[in-house]
Amino acid sequence: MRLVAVGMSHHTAPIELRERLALPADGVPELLRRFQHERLGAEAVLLSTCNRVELYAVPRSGSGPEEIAAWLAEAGGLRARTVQDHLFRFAEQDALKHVFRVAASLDSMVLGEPQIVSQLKDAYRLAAGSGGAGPVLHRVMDRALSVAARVRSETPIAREAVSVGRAGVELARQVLGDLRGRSALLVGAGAHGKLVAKSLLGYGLTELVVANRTFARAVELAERFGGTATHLEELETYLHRVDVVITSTGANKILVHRGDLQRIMRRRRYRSLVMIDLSVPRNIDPNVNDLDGVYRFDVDDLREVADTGVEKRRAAAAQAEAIVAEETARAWKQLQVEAWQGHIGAVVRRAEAIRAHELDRALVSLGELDPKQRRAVEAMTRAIIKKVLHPGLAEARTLAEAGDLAALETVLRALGGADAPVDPPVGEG
Amino acid sequence: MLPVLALTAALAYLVPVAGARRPWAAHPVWGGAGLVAHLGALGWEAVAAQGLPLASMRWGLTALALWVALGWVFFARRPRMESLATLLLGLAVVLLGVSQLAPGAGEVSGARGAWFVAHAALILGGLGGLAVSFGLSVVFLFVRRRLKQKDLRGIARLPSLDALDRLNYQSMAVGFVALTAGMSVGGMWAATHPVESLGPDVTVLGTLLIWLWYAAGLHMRLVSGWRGRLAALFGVGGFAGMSLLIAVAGLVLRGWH
Repeated sequence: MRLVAVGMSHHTAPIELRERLALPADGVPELLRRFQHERLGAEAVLLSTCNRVELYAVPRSGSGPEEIAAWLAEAGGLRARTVQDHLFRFAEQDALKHVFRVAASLDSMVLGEPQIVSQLKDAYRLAAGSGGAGPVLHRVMDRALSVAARVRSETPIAREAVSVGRAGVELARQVLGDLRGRSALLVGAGAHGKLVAKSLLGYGLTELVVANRTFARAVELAERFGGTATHLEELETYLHRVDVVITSTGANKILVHRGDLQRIMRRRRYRSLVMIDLSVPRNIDPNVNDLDGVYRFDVDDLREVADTGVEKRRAAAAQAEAIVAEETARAWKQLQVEAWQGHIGAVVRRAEAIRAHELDRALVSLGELDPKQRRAVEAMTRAIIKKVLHPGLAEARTLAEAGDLAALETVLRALGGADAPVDPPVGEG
Repeated sequence: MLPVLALTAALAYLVPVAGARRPWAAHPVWGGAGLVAHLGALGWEAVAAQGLPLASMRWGLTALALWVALGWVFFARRPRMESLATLLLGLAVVLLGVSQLAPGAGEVSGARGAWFVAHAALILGGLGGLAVSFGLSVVFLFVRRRLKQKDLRGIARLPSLDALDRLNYQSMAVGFVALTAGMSVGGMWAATHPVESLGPDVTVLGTLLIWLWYAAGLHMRLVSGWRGRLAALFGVGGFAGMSLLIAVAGLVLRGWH
């Protein structure tokens, strides 16, 4: 069995090249059909994201990683020779390991990021729907997704926050617990503020109110986030009832003073309030943190949480690499055994073809036989084939199950079944 | 045999407490072994006394420690609650140690009738709930302090303040209700047994004060919205009072009453 993984990723190519090779989802089936039509391989899956464009393929005899990499480059309108240094090529077990590493998010720009799994699933679904993925890639992709699940459950690689947005979520959850049923007030339209608000909504926040100096801008942002807009003058009204306040404005002054908040907290009956001040200069008086029930964080705090998350993910990556290595070795052996079992089938089919051919010849010289005689002759020839092949096939099956592929190849050659490589039957043409 | 079993339980509980960051030490087998030895200690004394010795301070404190250790069973498997579970095991070890210093004499409760058994069981249950509330209060104050001081490294492993506050309220309320019921049953029992009537001793007065303390705390939470830090401080203060009462009762009365 053969497997190839070629392409460009953020490790090998700048975005200018990656975007030229990138393909929208509706163009993928056509590309996969072309790949098969040009007889480069029997099966293929194309993964195209903002960080990578990769083709996983089962090549036909005569083609290999070089040919497929060149074809992929030219399919994307690039000259293979000029971009060859930006293309990676993996073959056989290394290709399988690469697919597993991608699925486990070990090859991602942000270690452990979760989107790659759904992107890989989408790529696989597209390939399966268009006939690109056959029996080998079905098994490879199924296994890759289960390796990803194992890595996520057995290591903390995806648990730690590594972005400012997620760090804001983690701090809010540390105080408030589940964010479902909670509300937040976003003051201003700064980039970090929008990131945190978006992340909070992704984690179940029920209500978002947007306040801005320019009301039209507040309306625009509220529409984008599915929230409601308010005037900046209404700030205090919302401070009484929301659970999270995010400030991200260009205002050069304090918008929330300690004294005002002290009064508000009494009216809130000291219900917890998370305040995330992402503005520089700060918009929330740092002394509000002394008040009971108020937890104030700024951009440095969020960065600290994100940096700690990055360190932890790096530490978890070593553990994840070990899982990937173990799974690659096991899956590769299993795939090989399954491929060789196909060869065992080929031996049987070849013997059966010879039997049928010789029987036809014999029947011509034997003349007219009644149905009973004909059945007896057929049964006899089948029994001969079965008895002749049985010891060799039994040994081949034992060797396949034991994973002794070299000895298996020798036995199959002796039986006349491994002379010509057998291309997988599905996805041909 | 009782000290050996209690010591075995304490040592087994100490493994997850002392080796909190080592995977082998966090294995539930240690807490499980501790619970088995703990139950063995309680059973041993009950067999020796030929009944439940609820009136024995040593047995009562051993039972209280078991209640607290059962808190570990409840919290150990919950996400981010491992630190609280470990703290409760530590508290169970302390209570087990104190129980071995406490007077062991006491009548078999069955001899005083079902009302007395109910009284003792409810009081112990109530104290158990309040002890768990103490554990939750300590973890709440610890997490709050780290958030306030911006000591955020590894903070995501700790339970959220909201969860701690909610559980603290629930365990305090359950403990308070059981304590109230236990005191009422005890009062009724004393009223119907004038010969054995114990009168208002240190334990009765102390328990009444503790009851008032928690009643005030719960009232303030419901009426004035005292929650978070104030509720946690109430939990810690109440447990401190409870510990003082047990120490005084042990030293002065050489028993519960």
